[in-house]
Amino acid sequence: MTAQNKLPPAVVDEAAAWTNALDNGEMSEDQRVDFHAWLDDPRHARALGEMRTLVSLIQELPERKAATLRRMPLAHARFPLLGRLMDRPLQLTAITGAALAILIVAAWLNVRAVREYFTQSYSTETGEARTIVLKDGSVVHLNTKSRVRWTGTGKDRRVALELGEALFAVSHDATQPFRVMVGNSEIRDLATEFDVYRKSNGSVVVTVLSGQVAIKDLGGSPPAWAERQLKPNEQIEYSPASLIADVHTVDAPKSVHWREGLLETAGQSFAAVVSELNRYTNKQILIADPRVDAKQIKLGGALGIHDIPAALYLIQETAPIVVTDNGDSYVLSLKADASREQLTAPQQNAAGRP
Amino acid sequence: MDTGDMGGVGEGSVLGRRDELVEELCRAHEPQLLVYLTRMLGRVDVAREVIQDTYERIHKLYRPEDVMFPRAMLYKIATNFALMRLRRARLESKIITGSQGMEKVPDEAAPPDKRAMAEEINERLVQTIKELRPNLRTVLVMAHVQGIARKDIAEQLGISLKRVDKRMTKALRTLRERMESFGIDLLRVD
Repeated sequence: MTAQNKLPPAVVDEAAAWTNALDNGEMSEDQRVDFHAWLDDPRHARALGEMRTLVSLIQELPERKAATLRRMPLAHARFPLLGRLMDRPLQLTAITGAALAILIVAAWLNVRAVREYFTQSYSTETGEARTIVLKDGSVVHLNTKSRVRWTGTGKDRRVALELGEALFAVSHDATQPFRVMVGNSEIRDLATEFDVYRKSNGSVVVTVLSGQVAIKDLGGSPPAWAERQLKPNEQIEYSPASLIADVHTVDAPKSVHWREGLLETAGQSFAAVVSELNRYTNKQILIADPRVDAKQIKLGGALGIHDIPAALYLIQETAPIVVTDNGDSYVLSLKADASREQLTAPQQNAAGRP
Repeated sequence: MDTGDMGGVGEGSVLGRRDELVEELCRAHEPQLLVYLTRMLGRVDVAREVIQDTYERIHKLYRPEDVMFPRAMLYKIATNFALMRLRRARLESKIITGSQGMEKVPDEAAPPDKRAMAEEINERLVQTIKELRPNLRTVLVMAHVQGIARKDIAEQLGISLKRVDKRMTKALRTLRERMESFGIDLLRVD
């Protein structure tokens, strides 16, 4: 009973498209109605089941095999327009191709994907988060206002964190350690998931989720501090001159909640929460009243970081704080003298989940 | 059989280990499964019920040593329960004709060469993915091996979301055709 009662190609295509829609992006109510109507045909349901299994098999490939796929070169958008033409079975001669390429490069250098391909440098704007794949197949999640640059040669894997914060999921390759350069320090590992945050004041926080990393000061000789090894759920903070907090235990998944668009507030001072929130917005949040600091307000739970007004509204609701929108900044004051207009509820869900 | 350690271990601890594996499997995939089923069914509460049905089925029938692709099995069972619900909701009066053959959960001893077959399926799959056109392969690997969101794929490759979808559809279709040509029946993989 090898299901060789052939499915028409169109049905296979539709099944692939619906599988896609189920895996990513939203499905509108209208689309879902279409989808359910489509499923009425038992052959369609069968085709969908096949596609689901196919996708599962890919996602479930043993690490050894997945690694060989990850290491294959990306079909980068060297020339997006050209790539688009190549998508169709259209024959371009080498010469027209090359001529076209030069023109397109010139015109498209403004495009982020093309620029990044040439500079091997990837960045985010304030409030933005994105995920990129490096040449060696390692995955980097970039937090707000951050920049990494691939500086590896063919023989070694090296990335510079020039600004902000990045979470690295390193592709396994026992022969080539993966190095992150942060100013005058080096973080080295084999196959690991770890977060590096270069604070605006110059200090660096490294948090390990899995695997193991070694951190070394390359500044002076002798270095300011000896090499440190970090295991999962360990964190270290250092500045170019000294250790600020030596290796200590943390809840690592919580400290990288930014990947899900959330900021963990439990156990942090109010001022620290505000300064963290300020990383995600150009319109700065100011604590005008020194009494706010003195009050030692503690928050709990997580705040959404991609919708700052919603996060501030939530703070206003849960803490004795009033938020005033001044146009170019938000000002926080104590609720006691709340005569001014308060921030009104944003339309979106206050938890700020995207 | 491959459970050569059976003799030395008490029945209880073997069961315990199995339950542990079931728990682990369900817990590891639950958030994604819930999103998937909610998209499919349009309602979170129904999606939760389907997950419950799925877990019960797995608790009853899952034999770790027989299942080479636990994730595929989990999604297959969940998809089937979801389809059953949809069918029930849409065709209340009509008689449901013939199972789609999608509900086969191993109910008898697996053939001894199961492991070898799984290895072959994986090998064929990787080989086929490698042979895809680079455009198609890149999108597929980024999405399903590296787990990158589709907006980030579009951005890094400098292509539109629509194009990402198109390439993905093409890649999946090609893979399915190739797997079929190898005589691999995706409905019977577990």
